[in-house]
Amino acid sequence: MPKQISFDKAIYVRSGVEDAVQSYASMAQCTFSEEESRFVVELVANEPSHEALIADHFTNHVLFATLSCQGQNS
Amino acid sequence: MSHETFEYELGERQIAFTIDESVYNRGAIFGTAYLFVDRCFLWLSQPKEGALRVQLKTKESATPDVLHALAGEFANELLNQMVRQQVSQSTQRIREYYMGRAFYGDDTRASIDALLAELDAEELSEEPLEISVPWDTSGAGGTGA
Repeated sequence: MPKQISFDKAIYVRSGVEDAVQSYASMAQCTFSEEESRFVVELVANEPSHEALIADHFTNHVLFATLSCQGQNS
Repeated sequence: MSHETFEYELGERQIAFTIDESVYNRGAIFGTAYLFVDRCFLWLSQPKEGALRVQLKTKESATPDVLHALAGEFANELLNQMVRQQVSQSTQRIREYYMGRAFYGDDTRASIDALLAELDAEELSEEPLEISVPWDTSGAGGTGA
């Protein structure tokens, strides 16, 4: 069962989500989609027992990438 | 659930609360979140205009007291970030001035020729140790090392 993670467009940037999808490609299959107000990632970990942990780290990675973009733009 | 005036939601290993963006701006919130990335998992959302919801999830098991303390640390760091921003804004002009002077100061004073001329103007013959210098060919100085 894929784990769905949504990221509010008012907070997170698209490039941050895309960066995380690429970075975690070796650990999970990630499907990226975009809705009106949020980015949605469906994550299926290669190792099911690690899925929750991978999803948590994925979320932090997106946040970190977003903050990095904010820093570059400031 | 609330503790005095701090309203929050507790879950397993996680605590969530809403921040009023009219009090703490987005930059302060992001700066605080950056500092907590290594300590816990964070998830931010905007439930409504002018409000930002922060969800902190610990990496290991945590009691409600630990979670509440974590949220308290986050709130304290928010205040720190706001103060940093205010100090940065109030000192921006003078910092730019000093940086400009440091990088783009008076060229003539920085020239090597000017520095050498300054040294020549000094009365090195009165140097008590009489250490010889490369540009002194008079032979008045003592032997060097």
